[in-house]
Amino acid sequence: MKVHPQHTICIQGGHVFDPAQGLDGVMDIFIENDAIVALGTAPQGFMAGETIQAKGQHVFPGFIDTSGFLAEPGFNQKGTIEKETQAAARSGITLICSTPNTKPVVDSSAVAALIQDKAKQAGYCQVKPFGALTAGLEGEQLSNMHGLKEAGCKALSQMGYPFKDARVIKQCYHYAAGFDITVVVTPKDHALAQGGCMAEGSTSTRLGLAGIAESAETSALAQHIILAKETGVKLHVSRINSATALNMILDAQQKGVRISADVALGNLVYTNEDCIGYDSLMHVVPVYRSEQDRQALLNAVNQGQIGICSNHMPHDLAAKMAPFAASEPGISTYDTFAGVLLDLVAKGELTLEGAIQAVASQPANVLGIKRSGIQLEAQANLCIADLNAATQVTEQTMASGGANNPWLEQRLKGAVTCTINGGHIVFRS
Amino acid sequence: MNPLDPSQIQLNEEGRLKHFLTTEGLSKDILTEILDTADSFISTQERSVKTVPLLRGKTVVNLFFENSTRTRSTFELAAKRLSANILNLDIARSATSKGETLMDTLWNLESMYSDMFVVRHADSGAAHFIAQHVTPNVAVINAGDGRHAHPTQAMLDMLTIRREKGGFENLCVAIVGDILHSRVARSQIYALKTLGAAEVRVIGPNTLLPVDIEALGAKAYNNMQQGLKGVDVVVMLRLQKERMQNALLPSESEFYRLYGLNRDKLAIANPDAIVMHPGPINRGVEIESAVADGPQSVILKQVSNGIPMRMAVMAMAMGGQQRKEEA
Repeated sequence: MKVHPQHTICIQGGHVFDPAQGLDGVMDIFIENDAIVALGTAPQGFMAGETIQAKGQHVFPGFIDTSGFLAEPGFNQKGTIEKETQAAARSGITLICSTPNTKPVVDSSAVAALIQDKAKQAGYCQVKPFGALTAGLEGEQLSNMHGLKEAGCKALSQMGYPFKDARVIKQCYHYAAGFDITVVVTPKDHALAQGGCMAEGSTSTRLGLAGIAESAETSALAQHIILAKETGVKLHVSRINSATALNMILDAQQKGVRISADVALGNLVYTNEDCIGYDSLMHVVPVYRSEQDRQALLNAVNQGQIGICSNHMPHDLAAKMAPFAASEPGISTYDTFAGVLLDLVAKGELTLEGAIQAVASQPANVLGIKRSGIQLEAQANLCIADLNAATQVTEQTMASGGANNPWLEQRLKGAVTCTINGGHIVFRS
Repeated sequence: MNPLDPSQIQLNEEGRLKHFLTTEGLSKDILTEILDTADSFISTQERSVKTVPLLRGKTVVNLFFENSTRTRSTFELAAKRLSANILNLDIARSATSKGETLMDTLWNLESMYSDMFVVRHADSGAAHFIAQHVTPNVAVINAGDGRHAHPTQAMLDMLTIRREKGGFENLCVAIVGDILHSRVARSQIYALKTLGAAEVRVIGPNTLLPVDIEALGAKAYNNMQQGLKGVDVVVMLRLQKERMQNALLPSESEFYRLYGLNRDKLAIANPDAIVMHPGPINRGVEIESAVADGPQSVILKQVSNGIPMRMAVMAMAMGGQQRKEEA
């Protein structure tokens, strides 16, 4: 008998919901060490070291984030790996692909290893950094792509940083395709976007803020799609924000381009009109666009076409205490990520199926994770949530180092009650 | 009330002005009250003793993060004529260049018990930001923020129009030139629409017209000849020379040929049309000297109206800040 009582958990009576696995009903889940060993009926001789009563609650696969800035190394005034992963665990996130724009940049195996070590020490979430696609994210030289992959990087990202020219993009894609490395970009033509801090339109005109036209993003996207098609690279377009970009990506998929996309959670909630009042918390990258864009992106999530990422970007107070354009862009989202997501479901804007796929199976597919979700022998990464409870986070109770969370004090419908990461309970409310 | 709404943050609970940040969203009554108050100060400016004691004992800080001799001087003079103590801070060359943040600067100034900040800043929304974060009872007057608003300039222009034309009904006003970068134009459009002007037009090449400008209530023209037909007021804007370098305009000469106000073009407007310019003017770039100095020009009247207008908004905003026990 191989059961070790101290490493077994039974989640009892929860509504297990994982659309990718076709699971939608009340059943018990049995965990031994780090893996799910049974669904429904306990394996013979199973003795639960711990039983989690989940009656009336939902059990989801652990959430996967494809864009989180963890501030470390280099930006400890904004947050730390420990604080940010703790905040993420509170939202049911069990895997974070962190962004490479740390200081130093994640363009060496040493930095990639450091981040994973620190995350392991903290013990809240698994962290697999995205390595930098170009050395120093400077857009000129290829990074040590293969070495970074070996060091644990799930993909290589240029984020929204500029490439020196189209040849560099093509060479990056060409090289990455040879090693089946997934490439992540947030396309932007920096000349067209120059100086802009919100979506261009009547609201930017009214506020006197320099706008970023949609073409600044979509013309760059067109170039990336063409080069991805030519090189055969697997391309993930992170943080799309417009219906046009969405349609271009769906069209490219139809034509056989290996391309996927996600949207930042904030872009499913806010529009350019929320910039009225110059609230620096609405200064984000990519910018919030129109209500039509928001609706198109919500619909794409519900259709299972795109994933959702956190775009978590903690900042110190001074970074946001400035006039709109002068403030640093980005919001801290982890503490309220699940609350906001489930609140969108409660409001009827997202279906539960769309929401959960977008933060679980969609990103798992992008990252090429084989056995993910709620299934036998998969790693026990789970999130238990009460859809009727409220998430209400305050500056005092938030875990993230960044106070720049626009949902602080708000009552959001739906709350994570327990997060299990690799068979360990890392959060319990 | 949404405290972040740029049009509502300027009013106190009784609906009186407590900051003056933008003309947008203010009612016709308030704009008219501002004009009437300024009118009443015009007479005091013609006396040999020009000061009135409305702001006696108050400290006004001119907080200019962008250089501006003209606007700053008129605010200084206006504060002095209201008997306030005035402190001029040339922030452009001091604190922030040493790495101090805007908030640090503000908190330092608040510690000196100031009563009013007159703010000019290169960032749109800077005056709103300051108004949101200053201690209560400190009034904020926007002396120009980025491309967003320059409400005292717009209101002194309204004062000039009202004194010249008697009112705003049936008026057609054209604003010409670099609308894209102009905070004056935006503030004028909102003020004119609220005060009841029949039509507001903006005239310029597409590269100098903001996206969706018509959503603000102005009709856009690329052709100046068409745009000037039937116009009662022509507002010329200053064209910054650096606009020639950023792929916005082909050349100064082409701009002048198309959009420079000369006698021929002015003849297209109504015969009694007045010509305005917020200054400083670029002769031969956006306006011909013969027009700038001609009989239809009211440019110097605008300058004289600057002081009573600034006295009016300073007095009103300070009144709106006054604690009940003081009032």
